[in-house]
Amino acid sequence: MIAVIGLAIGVALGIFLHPDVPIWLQPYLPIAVVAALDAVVGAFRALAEGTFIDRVFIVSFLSNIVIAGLLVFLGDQLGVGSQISTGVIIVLAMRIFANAAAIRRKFFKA
Amino acid sequence: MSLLTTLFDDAVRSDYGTGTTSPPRARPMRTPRSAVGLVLVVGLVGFILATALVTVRAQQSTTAAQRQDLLDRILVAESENVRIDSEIAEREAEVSQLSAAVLPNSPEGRLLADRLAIAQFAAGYTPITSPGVVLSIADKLGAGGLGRVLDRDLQGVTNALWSVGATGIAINGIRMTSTTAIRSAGEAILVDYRPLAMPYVVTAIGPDDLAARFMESPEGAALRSLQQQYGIEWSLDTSQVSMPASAAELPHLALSGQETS
Repeated sequence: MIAVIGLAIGVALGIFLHPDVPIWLQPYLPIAVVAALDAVVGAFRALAEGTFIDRVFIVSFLSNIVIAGLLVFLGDQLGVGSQISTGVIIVLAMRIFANAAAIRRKFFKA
Repeated sequence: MSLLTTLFDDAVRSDYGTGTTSPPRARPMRTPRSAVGLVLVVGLVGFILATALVTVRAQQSTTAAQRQDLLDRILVAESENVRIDSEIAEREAEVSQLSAAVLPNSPEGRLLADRLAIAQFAAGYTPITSPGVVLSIADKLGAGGLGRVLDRDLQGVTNALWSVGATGIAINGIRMTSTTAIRSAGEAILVDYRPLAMPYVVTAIGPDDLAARFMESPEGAALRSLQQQYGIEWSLDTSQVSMPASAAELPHLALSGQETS
């Protein structure tokens, strides 16, 4: 319940404040989006399996997003920014698929 | 394969330690601090998603609006160009009408009219209809890169036609004068700063054996080798051709010899 309220507040802030993403931050936006989706799907899986822990969710999400951002930043400095962001997105997408598959097995037994 | 499998397993293992490690069955009590943290992080997730949505949509609409604006401006400028061109043609017709009416009234005028006619013909400021040659050049079908006709090829053809005695040349209906530029911008060829569409049709009038003389020129050989090496398609015909007067600007600064001395 608390989580849903938090999500609603965040979405509302994002839509109504209409934040201008600075140019230098724009390459990180897709990474942040995929990392956020990964955290949410992972949390749903844990919820379905009864293993959800607030602390793990918070720490894993924050650390994932920071590490992904740092990796892409490092890649940008080394001139391989697009390749590294591709790698990061592939890993996160793999996790999303794996977690989604776990949720599906849990609910549909298929 | 085991390295890949390990990599994959590690990458997609749940953060919550399901499976191998024994999961905490009983849900730990939710402390107020972790509840605040949860709200903040979930709020951050929502904020990021909404920001991404808003940003991407804003970018799309800006790009589309800019594109439409540019298209509109191009269309307006093009129609303005057409209007100005027709106005120029009108004024030129008016001028030649007036000079035709006035000049024959005196001996000097008749002399001047003759000189004017010769100069206008040589400079490409009179429309012509006469037997001539039609040289059509086109890129190799479905060609990328090398099978393309370049501005250099059209320049060579034009210069070769002048050198074998052509007295009037037009490319795709644009009359060539001594100051008309043939150049490229990006992948398009511009003649007189107007982009051409394929096929490139060079019409020329001149002596009766213009086609034969062109074929014997170095540029004729160059065209044949372009066809053999790169598959560029071209054909040369003789037929009745008509070309318009040049719409190019007259030189502003040129003076006749008597005026400068």
